[in-house]
Amino acid sequence: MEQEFLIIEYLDGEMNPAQEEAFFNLLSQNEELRSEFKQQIALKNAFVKDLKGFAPNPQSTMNIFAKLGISAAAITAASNTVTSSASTSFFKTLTNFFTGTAAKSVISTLLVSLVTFATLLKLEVIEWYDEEGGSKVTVSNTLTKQNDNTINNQLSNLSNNNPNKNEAPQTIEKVVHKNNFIFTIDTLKLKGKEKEKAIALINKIENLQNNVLLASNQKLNLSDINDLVVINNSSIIENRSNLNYNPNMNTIPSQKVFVGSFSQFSSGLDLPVSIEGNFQLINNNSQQEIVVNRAYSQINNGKFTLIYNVNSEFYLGGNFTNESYYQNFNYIDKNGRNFEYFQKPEFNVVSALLRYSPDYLKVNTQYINIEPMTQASYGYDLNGGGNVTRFGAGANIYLTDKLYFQLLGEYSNLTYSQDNQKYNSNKFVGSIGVGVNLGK
Amino acid sequence: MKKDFSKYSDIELALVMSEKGENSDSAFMEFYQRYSNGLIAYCTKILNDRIIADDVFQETFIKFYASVDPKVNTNIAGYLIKIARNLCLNHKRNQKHKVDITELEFLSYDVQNYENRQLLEFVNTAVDLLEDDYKEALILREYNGLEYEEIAKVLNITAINAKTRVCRAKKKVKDLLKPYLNEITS
Repeated sequence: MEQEFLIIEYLDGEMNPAQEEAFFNLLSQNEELRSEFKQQIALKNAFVKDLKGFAPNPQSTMNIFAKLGISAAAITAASNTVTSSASTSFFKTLTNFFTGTAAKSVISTLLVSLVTFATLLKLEVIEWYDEEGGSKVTVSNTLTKQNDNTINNQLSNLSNNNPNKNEAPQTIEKVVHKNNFIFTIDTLKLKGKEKEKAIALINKIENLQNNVLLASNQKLNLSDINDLVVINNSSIIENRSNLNYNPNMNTIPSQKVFVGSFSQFSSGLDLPVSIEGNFQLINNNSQQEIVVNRAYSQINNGKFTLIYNVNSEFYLGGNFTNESYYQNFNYIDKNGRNFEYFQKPEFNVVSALLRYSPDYLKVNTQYINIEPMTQASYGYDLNGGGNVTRFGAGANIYLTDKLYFQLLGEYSNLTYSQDNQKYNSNKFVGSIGVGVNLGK
Repeated sequence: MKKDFSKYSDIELALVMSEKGENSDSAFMEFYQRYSNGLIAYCTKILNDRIIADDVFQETFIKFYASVDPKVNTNIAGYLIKIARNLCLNHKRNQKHKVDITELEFLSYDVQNYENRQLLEFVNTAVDLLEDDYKEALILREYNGLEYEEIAKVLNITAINAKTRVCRAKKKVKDLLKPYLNEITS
């Protein structure tokens, strides 16, 4: 017991330096005391850890403050003044609740969840499929009960008009088509007229025209699987509302439809090539007030580009740029006189161009498609004035499926030589351009 | 300008509270900040029932708010504990504290793969198994951080007695947990 008292006195900080020294001496000599000491330390640590597990119930705290009439504002004010570390935990939580941050978070989360759920509700699937000896129409919706009911109601209406009323609402016997059609939220995008033509194709399919009438503003995508059509339908219920039963359908023979190739929609030139013309809006390369000689050029800092669409993301091409660069260099003539030149001559630069426009950044809306891009080019001045390297970023903004505007920012660097000395001139050019896609 | 009450002593805070001015609520909340954890630990361990402990805890702070007087209550922590203790005793008066003796059995279990969490549970149980006088002294010392003199005042005993109770309580807990403590410290 005496040993334990010693340890407790030490842990309680009640020993003076001399006593502490004596205690440490004793510890070094007495193994039993050391063991006892370790156990007391472990026990004390356990008490400390145990205490950390205790905190007042938030509801209790709220009750206390409510009973004492302490306002939320006062709690907020107090928490603002309290700077102790503990205040950052409990009171901030409480304050956040009162000031609405937590509540807002909860509400925001609920709203986001609601919107997400509502979006999910639209993820519907409708299928038309054939079976041997006769086609059946099956409309299925695996995601929403409500929409199931909507579909069932519609199908019930169909069934009422159907001569064979014994059929279940979900299955109506009639020859519709030998291919499968799946309506769903698509991941692929069609643009402008391409979309309209694809919709027109579907509408033209003789034995579907009374079943599927797509509004022109509906997005549509056809896969290249012969017998599969994937349609992005933002308003699937509208789509279904056109599912009016047509008794004549039974007499229409099956028809195989090949979809996925849209070459039939393209008219005229169909090359995956774009032509672009750019005009500068910004140019910071004018350190000195040097008048550009425009004697032989009227398109200063204009650019003409021809670019080949390798795939949906990569483009390879070339461009011609008429542009000026500020130059500053020294020149010593044959008489030994040193001249410092400040000039801004024009260059005619021919460059090879690589462009990358990632699909995941592309924005496709009903009226406009935006394709962000980065590009790099390297070229040389036709008059031997130097080499030009460019790095740029911008976006092509499609107003139709062929015509687009281009916003482009480019950093360019001209390297040139004078008297075997290398010089550089850098500039940033912002430009706007117009492009025409000759492809589909 | 708002005051930072975290730097105030208990007595200074109590004075602010007693003025019933615009800062009295803030001063009370600083008290709450300082002592709520220890107090809920005390109530829970003394009563062995978290729900009742929550009630007592609330009542304690409400009584404290209404009655604290810096001229009389110079030891605020002790005063809070006294309020809580009286309330706990009231609750316990009609209850007989029960300890399931079978709880002792697990203390002799294999200790090869103990974890801290287990140790804490064992400590809790060991503290529960103490006689009330020892248990309370130990809680006041280890969980509420009271000095022996303060414990003495709360328990109406001498400081030496308080220290003795704490030491004996620790020894009992340590003896109960010996297998585990040996494992930890070996």
